[in-house]
Amino acid sequence: MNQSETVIEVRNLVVEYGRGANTNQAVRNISFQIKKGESVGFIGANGAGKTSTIKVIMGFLFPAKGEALVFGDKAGSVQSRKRIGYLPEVALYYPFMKARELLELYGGLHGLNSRALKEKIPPLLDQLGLKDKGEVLLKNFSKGMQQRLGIAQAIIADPEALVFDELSSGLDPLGRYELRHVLLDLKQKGRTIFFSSHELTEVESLCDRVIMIHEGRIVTESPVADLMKPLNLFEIIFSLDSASMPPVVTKFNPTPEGDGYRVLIDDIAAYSEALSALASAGAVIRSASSKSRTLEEYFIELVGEKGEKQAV
Amino acid sequence: MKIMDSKREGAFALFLFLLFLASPAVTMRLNPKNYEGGRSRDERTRHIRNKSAAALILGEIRSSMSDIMFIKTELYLHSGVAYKLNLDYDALSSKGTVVEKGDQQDVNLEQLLPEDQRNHAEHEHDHDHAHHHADDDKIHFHCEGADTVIPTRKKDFRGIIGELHRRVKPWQDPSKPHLHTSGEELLPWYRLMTLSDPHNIRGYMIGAWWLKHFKKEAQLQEAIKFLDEGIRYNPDSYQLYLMKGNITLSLDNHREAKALYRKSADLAIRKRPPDGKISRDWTHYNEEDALAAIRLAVFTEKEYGDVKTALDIARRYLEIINSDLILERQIQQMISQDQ
Amino acid sequence: MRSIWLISRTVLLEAIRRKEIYAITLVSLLLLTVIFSIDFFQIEGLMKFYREVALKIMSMATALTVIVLSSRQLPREFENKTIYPLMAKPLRRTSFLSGKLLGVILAALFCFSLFMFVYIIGTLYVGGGIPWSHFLQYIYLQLLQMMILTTLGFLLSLVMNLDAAITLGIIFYITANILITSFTYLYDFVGIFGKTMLTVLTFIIPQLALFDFSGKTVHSEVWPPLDLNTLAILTAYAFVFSGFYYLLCIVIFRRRAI
Repeated sequence: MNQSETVIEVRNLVVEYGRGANTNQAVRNISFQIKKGESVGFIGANGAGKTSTIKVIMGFLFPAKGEALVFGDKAGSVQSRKRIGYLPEVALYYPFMKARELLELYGGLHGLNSRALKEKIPPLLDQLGLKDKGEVLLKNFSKGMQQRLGIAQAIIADPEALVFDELSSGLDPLGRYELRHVLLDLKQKGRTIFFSSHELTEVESLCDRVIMIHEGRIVTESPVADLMKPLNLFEIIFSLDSASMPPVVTKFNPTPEGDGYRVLIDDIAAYSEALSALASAGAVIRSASSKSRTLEEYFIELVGEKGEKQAV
Repeated sequence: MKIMDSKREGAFALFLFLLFLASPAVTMRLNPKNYEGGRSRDERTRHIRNKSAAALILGEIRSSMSDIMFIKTELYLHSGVAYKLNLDYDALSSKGTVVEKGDQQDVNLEQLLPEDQRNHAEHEHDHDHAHHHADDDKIHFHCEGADTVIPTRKKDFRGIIGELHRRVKPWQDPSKPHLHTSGEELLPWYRLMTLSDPHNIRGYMIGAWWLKHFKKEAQLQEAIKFLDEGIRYNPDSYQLYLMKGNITLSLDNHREAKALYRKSADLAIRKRPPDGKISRDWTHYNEEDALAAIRLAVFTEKEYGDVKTALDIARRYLEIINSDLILERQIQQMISQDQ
Repeated sequence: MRSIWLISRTVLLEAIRRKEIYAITLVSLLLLTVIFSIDFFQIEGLMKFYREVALKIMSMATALTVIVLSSRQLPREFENKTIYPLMAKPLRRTSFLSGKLLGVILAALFCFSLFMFVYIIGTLYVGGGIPWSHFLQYIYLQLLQMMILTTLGFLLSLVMNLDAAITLGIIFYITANILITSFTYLYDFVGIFGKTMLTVLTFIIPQLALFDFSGKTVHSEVWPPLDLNTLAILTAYAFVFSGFYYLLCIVIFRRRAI
């Protein structure tokens, strides 16, 4: 792989907090790469090590071991930060400033001159639903408005890569919808996007790839399409004499439900097959539906398995 | 564990705070007789104040502020140059070993009188600043014993820091004659220091002394008002009556001046220790002022009252104070006049 | 350079838009009014007294503002997490600190301007003139002092919590003026070890009293303004100390995780 194609590279990263006996490893020897133009979701429970990893990528934290590179430069270097836009998990913006002034500050730090800023700021505010809010003091901004402004400051210099920590934290449904559009637009423009999130819809709609982290270790790293497969689940509730139960159903371990049975099937082909077999066996189908698990449920199951394996 | 730690820290902080509050009381308990709170030498005031730790602390703050303002007047007098002289003088004055060097200037008793009445050459000290001030507002003084708070280059261990200190702050070589400024700008400090500590008798005294130097009716009246306020807070202060007597005399109110000097002398006699021994509680200032009050009481009685009465009170006072050359001379003069 | 200016502008903007400085100015104005409402024996034109009180209030209020402002700059950035979007920009940590330093100095200048306005109004009321050369030298030296206090405030806030940093800064400001004189007194009463210690302390503690030109400004009719040589030495002295504190700040801040 060409080095120039890799935007973010994390190698054997270990992040520690505290000293001596109180040392706590937040990130335990993880490695991954984000390539140019990719959109990658970074998923994990609270305390899994997502923010710590992102902070190393931004140069806020120093790794105990390993390293992180951004565009081939050491993470945190001025050179690397020139090409990256960042939205922190939680950030208040200077309450004594106006939205326009704040964007002028951040844009100015990115090297944009005042003429460029004057041209860029109004459409950007408009794009993020903050039209006519440029001259409002930030102390009067709601949490959602602050988050939108945070996105604006991250993308003001049109960076090649975007790193968002907890993408839609604090946004209302409309805000999330608008944000998704902004990001899809950026994705279409070929920007690299790396973000942590809890929201399955965001992951589904925005990501090409997902990295799951648990207790400082990467537990899954796969394309979204592959990941979504095991998330589909189908449920059939039926009445039938147990002796007549077709084998295609029994292999999914039906459980008693009232005076009948309930079976959960995680494969669409097997689901169709089971439905046909039950109909042929003369079963009364009370309900048949598809049940999708949330990413969280999937994640909990996954880390549960990992935990058990580790215990063994 | 953390909660335990913070509780322990809180308890320790509370303990320190209580200890701080209790410290004056503890000090007094350990050595109550030696405790000297504030400026006031008045027994009653001291007793009331010493009963309450909070009053004591607040009182100390007020008297300390007053002291700082007093030092300020010294600075103003010397155009900002900080001299050590007065601090030493204060310390020595309570030990009975003071030897004034330099331009000590006695004030002629007759200077108190209107010009046409200056016939008698009796000598008396004026108070405090008058030790080294003349009526002329700006005059050069050479004080051999004087030393500046910022040391001279020879005495300074600080090298360049000392040099900068001498350049930035008002400073001049103490061995050279220095200039005293007009007292006008000192007056607000006397007003503020007596507001801060109404028992600052020296504040009232010297403030009134400077006001007297304006030689204007309005300021003399202000001086009287100022001293009346001082007397209200310090009814036993013979010094304030003495100063009020001086100013009243300047206003040609002889009868009242005479009464004020008498009052001052009587109060002084009551306070003065036997044989006028100088101590912490009876300083040179006290002794000088007490003698001035007695002499002026006799002098004004003789000038504006009855010579026989003057002779009587002079003899009575002399009996109490044992010896005083000036008073004895006054008596002899009156006897010879009478004859 | 532009990034330093942008950061400093933020600090200045905070100082201008927040109410603290105006509140301090108003309280100072009130204090002056109260003091001058006292009847000083019907004497008018007490210029020295007015100068003394006004300059003292001006320097103390500015010093307190600077101590609080400088001490809270970094902790507030961490506490409110405003430092994250800022440090995600191509901004060096040294530029960030320099911007903050310049910003606090500008805020101190703003504070002085406000007080100067009050002072001039007061002078018009009291009567008498303003000794401009003394006054400007006074302001200049105060700014040098503020530079030392600012870097010290930054340093303290990097090694301890905000409250402790402010308290220590204030204690240092108050005692530094007393120390310079007390050392000269103590020197005659201590042994050789004490003398060595006092000498060392004299040189390692910044002598803030050297930047208080109020004495000569108050009695300006007697004392000439400072010569350029002295001003240059004092400037160098201030830069040595603030430079040292600033370097320590950089060393600590560069190693600090955000």
